[in-house]
Amino acid sequence: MSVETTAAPRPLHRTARRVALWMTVERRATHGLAALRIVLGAGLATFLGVNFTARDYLWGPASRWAAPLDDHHGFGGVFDLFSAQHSLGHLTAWYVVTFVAAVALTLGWRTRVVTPVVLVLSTSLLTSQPFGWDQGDNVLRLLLLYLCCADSGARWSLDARRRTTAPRGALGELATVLHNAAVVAVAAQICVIYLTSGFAKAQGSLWQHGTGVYYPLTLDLYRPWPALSDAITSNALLVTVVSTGAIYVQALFPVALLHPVARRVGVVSVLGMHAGIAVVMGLPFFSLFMMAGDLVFVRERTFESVQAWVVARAESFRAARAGRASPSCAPSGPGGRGTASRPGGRSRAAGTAP
Amino acid sequence: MSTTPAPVPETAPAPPETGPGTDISPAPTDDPPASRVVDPSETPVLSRWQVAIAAVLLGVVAAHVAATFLWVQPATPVRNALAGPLTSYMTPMFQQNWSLFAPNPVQDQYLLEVRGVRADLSTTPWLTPSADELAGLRRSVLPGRDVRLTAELSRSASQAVGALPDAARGYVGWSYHHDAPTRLRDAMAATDGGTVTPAMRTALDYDEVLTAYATQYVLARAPQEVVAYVQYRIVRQTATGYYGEDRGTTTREVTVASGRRPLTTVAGQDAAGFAAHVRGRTAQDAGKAPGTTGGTR
Repeated sequence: MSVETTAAPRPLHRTARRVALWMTVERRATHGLAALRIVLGAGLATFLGVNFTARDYLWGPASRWAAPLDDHHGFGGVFDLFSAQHSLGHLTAWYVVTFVAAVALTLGWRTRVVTPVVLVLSTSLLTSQPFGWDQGDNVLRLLLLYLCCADSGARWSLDARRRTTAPRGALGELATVLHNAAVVAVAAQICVIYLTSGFAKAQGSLWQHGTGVYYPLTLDLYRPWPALSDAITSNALLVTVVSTGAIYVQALFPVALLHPVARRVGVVSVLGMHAGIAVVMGLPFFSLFMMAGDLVFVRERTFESVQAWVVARAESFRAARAGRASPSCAPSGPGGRGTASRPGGRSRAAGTAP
Repeated sequence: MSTTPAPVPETAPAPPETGPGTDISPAPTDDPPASRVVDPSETPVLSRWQVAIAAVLLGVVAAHVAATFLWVQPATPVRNALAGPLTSYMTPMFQQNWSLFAPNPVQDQYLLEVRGVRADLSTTPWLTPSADELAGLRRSVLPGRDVRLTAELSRSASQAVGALPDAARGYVGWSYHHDAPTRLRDAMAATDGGTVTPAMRTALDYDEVLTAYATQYVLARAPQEVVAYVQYRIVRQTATGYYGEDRGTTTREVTVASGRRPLTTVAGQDAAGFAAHVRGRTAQDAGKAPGTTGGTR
């Protein structure tokens, strides 16, 4: 392998070169990881908002009854910020800090510092209650951990607004390699989840025979909308398609990534599957965090066209409003002019829309 | 193009007109084979350290993914052989489990029920904390974490008690009017020559936790009662088979039923906070029918 080749590179060398280039030349999936950051941050902030009134019962001194079984899920040290042995005031203070950090992550403010802070705070909180845990907690923690190594603030963030030039120099190059390794880790983690869940279901007789989805939908535990659940479970076609489809969509997901059309089908399918789980089974946060991870498989170009489309729509909306408003508002003063002047600055971005 | 005679040769950055770039593997690590690259199409010049770091990081990610993959798989000879190091690497940070709905989906739910016992051994009606919590899931787009809290506690507790040998398990149903934890522990240990096995330790912890929860719940929901003891039981509801005549219903059995225990409060317990939450939840969900029918709505 240390022999130099001067002619056309051998296939192995070509592959190695492509891998090296992919890892080092530029930061990959910057839109996907920014979307991941935003969804994780907003999802965590929403979770904290939803559970605010129940915080004492779940994580505060009102949950001390669970103390004999509280092992913090094996976490300790820096992840010990929350505990039922502290006062409600302590819980509330750190709870608010966690909420603020989650919002900062969503906005992309000081992302490099805020991401590990959110990881520590959210893990500390969620592990301080031995029960009520779900796989969404694990997905959130794992994805946040990988995000700590990534430049998730490169797009759609306050950090990006502040940046004047592209990162350069040895530190920038190191950050690029680390970022790309994080992209690989996120993608691989999501693939492991789907592969494992899909193959495990394929071994179960109830999924094999197309009735798997009927059982959870019959239990109050996963039945927030009984009429909807009954509509699904009483329809043999739906039960079969959803049960069997879940096996194939999950088990074949990593393979589907290899082909551009199959990848689109695969990504849309898993996003749809988790949207369904979120609503029908009442597992919104687990589903949201899984969908956040799926976003790394959406191409940069797709995010860019979506962004361009949104900008163009927003602009035409503003222009239409300004156009409608200006004749009647013109005499009344600067209000109409203010709104009319904004879209002009954005016209170049909108012009790039396909 | 010049190279040094060293085992790991260097390549000067080639100007585009010299043709295809020279491609060499310095290979500071072996996974993946790394190259110093001069690509005329993109003309990036990669420094050796960049390539080396990329190779090292990819190696780390590959090892991590392999460990994760092994961790979530069922037991295999490889997984068994590596169980020790694998556990110490994967827990607690990377712990994960993707088998709740596989190989077969969850088909049952466990609900906690508690009641108070007065000094004359007359009892209050059974109270239903898990069903009350689950009422909060009804017609909720963003349910709180508390909706499945005691249902999950009950599932784990039922498994912990179910893991006991028959002789030891029988004592859970005995009543202890004083020093319940110690006397229950000694009674269980006596069935195994005086040893408190790990399974017994776990089941005893669950008994303490369930007794402490039952105490809080009875005090919160029946504050007018003067109770001396509490009891808990775990009800398992199983979905009937898809092909059965009674499709869409659940069967019901009691998996664990404790004897009487003295009121137990863990040091530092915020009873007022607990009661406020439980009463608030009940009032809030009063409008939502906690029953199991809803298909005709």
